[in-house]
Amino acid sequence: MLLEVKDLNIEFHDHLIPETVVSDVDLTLSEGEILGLVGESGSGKSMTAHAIAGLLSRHDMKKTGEILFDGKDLLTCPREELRKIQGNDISVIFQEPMTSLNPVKQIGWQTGEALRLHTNLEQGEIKKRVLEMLELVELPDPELVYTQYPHELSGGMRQRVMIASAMICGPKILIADEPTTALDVTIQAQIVALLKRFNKTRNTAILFISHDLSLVKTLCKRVAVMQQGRVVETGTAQEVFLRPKEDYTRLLIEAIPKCERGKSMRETV
Amino acid sequence: MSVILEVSGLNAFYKVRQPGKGKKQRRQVLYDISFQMEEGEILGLVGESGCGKSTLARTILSMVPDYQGKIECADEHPQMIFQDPYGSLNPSMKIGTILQEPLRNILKLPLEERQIRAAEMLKKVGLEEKYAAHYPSQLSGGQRQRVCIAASLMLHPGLLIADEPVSALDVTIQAQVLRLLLELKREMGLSILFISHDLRVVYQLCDHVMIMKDGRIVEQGETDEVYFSPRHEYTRRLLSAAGILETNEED
Repeated sequence: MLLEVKDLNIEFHDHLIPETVVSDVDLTLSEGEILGLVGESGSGKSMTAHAIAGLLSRHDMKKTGEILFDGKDLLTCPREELRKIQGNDISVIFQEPMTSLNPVKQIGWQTGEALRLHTNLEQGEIKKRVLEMLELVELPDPELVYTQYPHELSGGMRQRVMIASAMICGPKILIADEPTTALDVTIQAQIVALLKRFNKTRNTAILFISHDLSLVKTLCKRVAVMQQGRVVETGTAQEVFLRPKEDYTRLLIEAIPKCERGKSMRETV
Repeated sequence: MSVILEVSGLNAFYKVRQPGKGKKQRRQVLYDISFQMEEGEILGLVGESGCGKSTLARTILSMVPDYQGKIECADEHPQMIFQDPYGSLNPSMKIGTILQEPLRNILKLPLEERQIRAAEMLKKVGLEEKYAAHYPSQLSGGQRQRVCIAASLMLHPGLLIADEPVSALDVTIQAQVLRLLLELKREMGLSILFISHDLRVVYQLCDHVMIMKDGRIVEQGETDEVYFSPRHEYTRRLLSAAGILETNEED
């Protein structure tokens, strides 16, 4: 097992009454697997993902449970060790590629950042690898993109840059938090194909977070459904989509608009 | 059935400043657009971002000054609702006041009458009367979009232009808002120009669809026809990207 989340609880203590946003979450991710994490906004998907990525270090938060990666508990391990893992073994891409890129740094610089932090490669070698990676994420003219700034790129291209910088160190786990929500359908399909390819060729495990169930259905082998901070159902994509056990899962699946003749809302409602 | 909106031979232009050149240039953004909407019809307008969907909506509501062609709208006060229910409501006004605004400014109704109508409209969009005293920040995304719809219906418009009204909402809430739009269409004989990039949502709602690309309408027709026997290559590409049209190629 590559990653194991046991009994994860996250509580906010920024008000008088503590608020539990994630309760008793158990998740597992094996090597090269794509796990879909679905649920409505506010269900705790992103909080769980942020906790795994080690991005929750606020003092007004209480976290209990275990997140085991490579024999280490990411919740309790010292900061320096966490730093060695972040961007190296575990990377994250977010929904909004504009705010996750640094607006005043060139694309080449930000794509190579993880390499500079985690390896002792020379500048020339880093540049070579960055250009290779930009080519791999299918950006046209990598040499030009290398010197460009985020505002000069379209949304789809920015998300490709995000993927390139997340994949540059060859992580074992990629956490993708709603990576295609802000993109057009055609671009969305391209980005999903790109993630699939990395999963196949590099055996990168992906935790794919989305509220788009039809997308999760096509991409993920296993699915976990979250509701109000709890995982209410897990199983293979087929089990969950064809024979949902929970009423809530059924509700979510039924809410996916379907395109079948004679079954649209305009004809049935 | 009478025609509520007729657009023919519409071309629209924006003034854009090109980097390096001082003077603003006139750039065409809509090319030769013609279509008709009947009363009580929901017409879908589909296309990727930047193709000119919203520009067409803005031109119909005379918010784009530079255009050629004919726009004939039988409705005096066509209304619009937007994608972002967070940005379209004044955060310092109570819901009741927001709903009463058009009644005060345009119909000049007395307070009591305004309050009655606002309460009625809240009920119609499925919100309790008490929300009139709430501020937008106290409502959820779905509730806010209901308020936006209520506000746009205060003057009983014949034509409603909805620009990505459910794109920011969760699937379950999305279904509720779509159902509401269908009910309102039936009850009030409302015509809706429904703009969206989500082909699945459009299929649920629209009697007819138009597919737009780079400022041109490349295909229009009855929804089932366009979805199940698309004629234009671009329509086919959109449908297969959304996983609606089955294609033979894998990945």
